[in-house]
Amino acid sequence: MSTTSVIEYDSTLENAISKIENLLNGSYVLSKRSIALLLLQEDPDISDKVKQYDSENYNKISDIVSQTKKLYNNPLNFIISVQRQEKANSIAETYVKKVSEDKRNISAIINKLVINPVTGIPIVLLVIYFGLYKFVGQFGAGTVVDFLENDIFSRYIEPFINRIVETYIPWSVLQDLLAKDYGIFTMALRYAIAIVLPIVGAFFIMFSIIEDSGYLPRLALLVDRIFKRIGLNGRAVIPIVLGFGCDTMATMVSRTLETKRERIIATFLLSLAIPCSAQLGVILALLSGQPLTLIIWIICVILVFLLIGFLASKVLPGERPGFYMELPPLRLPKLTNVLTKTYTRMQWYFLEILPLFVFASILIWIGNITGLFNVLLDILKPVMTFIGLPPEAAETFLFGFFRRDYGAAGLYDLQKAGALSPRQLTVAAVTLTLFIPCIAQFAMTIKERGIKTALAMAGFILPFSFLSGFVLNILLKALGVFA
Amino acid sequence: MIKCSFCGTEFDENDSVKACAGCPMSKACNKLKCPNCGYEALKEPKLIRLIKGLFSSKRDVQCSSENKKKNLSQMKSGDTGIIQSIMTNDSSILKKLMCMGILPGASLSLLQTFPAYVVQVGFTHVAIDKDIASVIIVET
Repeated sequence: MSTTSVIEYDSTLENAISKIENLLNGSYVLSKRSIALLLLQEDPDISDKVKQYDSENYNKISDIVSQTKKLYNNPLNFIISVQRQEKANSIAETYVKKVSEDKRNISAIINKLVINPVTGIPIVLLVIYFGLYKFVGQFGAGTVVDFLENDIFSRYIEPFINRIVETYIPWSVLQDLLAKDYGIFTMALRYAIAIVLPIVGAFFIMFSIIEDSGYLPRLALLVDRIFKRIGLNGRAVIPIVLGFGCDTMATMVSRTLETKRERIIATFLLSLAIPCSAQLGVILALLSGQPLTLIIWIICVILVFLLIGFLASKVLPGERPGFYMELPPLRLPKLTNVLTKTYTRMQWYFLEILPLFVFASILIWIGNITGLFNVLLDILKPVMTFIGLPPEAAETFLFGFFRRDYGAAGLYDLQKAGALSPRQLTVAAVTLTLFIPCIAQFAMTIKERGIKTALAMAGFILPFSFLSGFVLNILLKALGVFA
Repeated sequence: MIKCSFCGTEFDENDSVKACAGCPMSKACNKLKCPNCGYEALKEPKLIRLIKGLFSSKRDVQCSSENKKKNLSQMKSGDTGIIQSIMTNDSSILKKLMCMGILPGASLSLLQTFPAYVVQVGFTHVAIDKDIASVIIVET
């Protein structure tokens, strides 16, 4: 080992290191000096290894560690990093040439505008308006979906499949499985490819651009104070924003949060109040015709998000960890990076949802032929009337149980048939948004948070979503908003 | 600095918030809790504080010119200084700051204080909240 690469720590530490080195006899992958340093920093994995290989000397070693610890006011890992930093600084001083930066370069100006709340908040709103509403809502869920749905699927693919199935398969039961209203090819594939995929794709393109530009940490900084109120901190902005793309993915990402409490609150809010892009796209497309319904929907969802988050943070015990985040420099996103990321995310999403859509189609098919479905629909119909919706909406909600976006897409069909008044549309949109996102997200919640927590969340969300719809319906009626 | 009228401990307003951690009211009440004995005293009304501030502003300036050590949460945006120490035993906070290179001896400049503190250390920009900012002691 060349001595030039070794950092010389202060004499107390060096003393302790050499004492520990002498006590180590086992064979390790790392050098004895590294092992000694890691032991002083109380690395749990290395401590276990040493306990295993040098069990007879382990007590002596831990004595040395605790004696050394007493000599300093701060933890040893801190002392060691301070001394390493000094060494790094001295190396950098010798070899790095600093070019004085032009303070008024464009990225510094944008950075200032973005992190200052006065200009930053309007920028957030602009990003939401153009990114989410214009691009995902109007372009993705409007233009692209219309083209795929009406021009391609309805005109060419659906009649073609129906004809083939009718010609070659004589049994009408099997015909229903593959084609017709709820068939695998005509419903599952149509929903997945023509409605959901373009919306999710549009969201992922936008998310990748925002992610690569370095905007997310700055957004975290801006919302930190609000998020503290709901028991989270700014770091939680990443899973929450990702939730607008796919709640299932976001639930998985919520494991990056520091404490169990934060993870539970984030998962809960994702399940309750964050609409995923597929749903968001369909809802935006549905409601944008009547701006008032859209505004009421936005207010309701934000209110529920903040109120329930606030209550959850009061109910759940535990401390709140501090907010810290590095702000990487703002960069212009690279097109290839954005496209690769979007592609891999869409691939993940497609592989994850398509089997579920097919599965839902099969379930609906089984439900239809056994009559089980009609029983469930009969149970749901009074609930629909209860929250002021036409009984036919029961179907949407039942499918929504399998996937929330599926339900929203069903709502889209219902609206096209002209079955909903503006008030009913608003109530249905709010109720569907608050509903558990989809079976995949629920499965992910069970996997990440445990079955008990997941069931408790579902036990709250199911009645709460219908109750909110009920209250909203009464309020809208009483105030005569859509009179 | 506030002196507890019950046990005589001197404490900062920030320390008193820590003592309130378990209380659902958190900061919404109008009291200060002593971190040593838990005795709750009423906060000084804002008007009185304002008047006191008017008269003591001169003395404060003298104080600060003598004593150049401040914690980060007392600094203004645009201030620069050298990190003197990290005043906490909370190893999770120490670990976080360590990872970001916020260590004694590093020069620091404060870029923004609201809604979160944004500091530049070396070539790195870091955002932290007030709780963490208050443990960083800076010599200006």
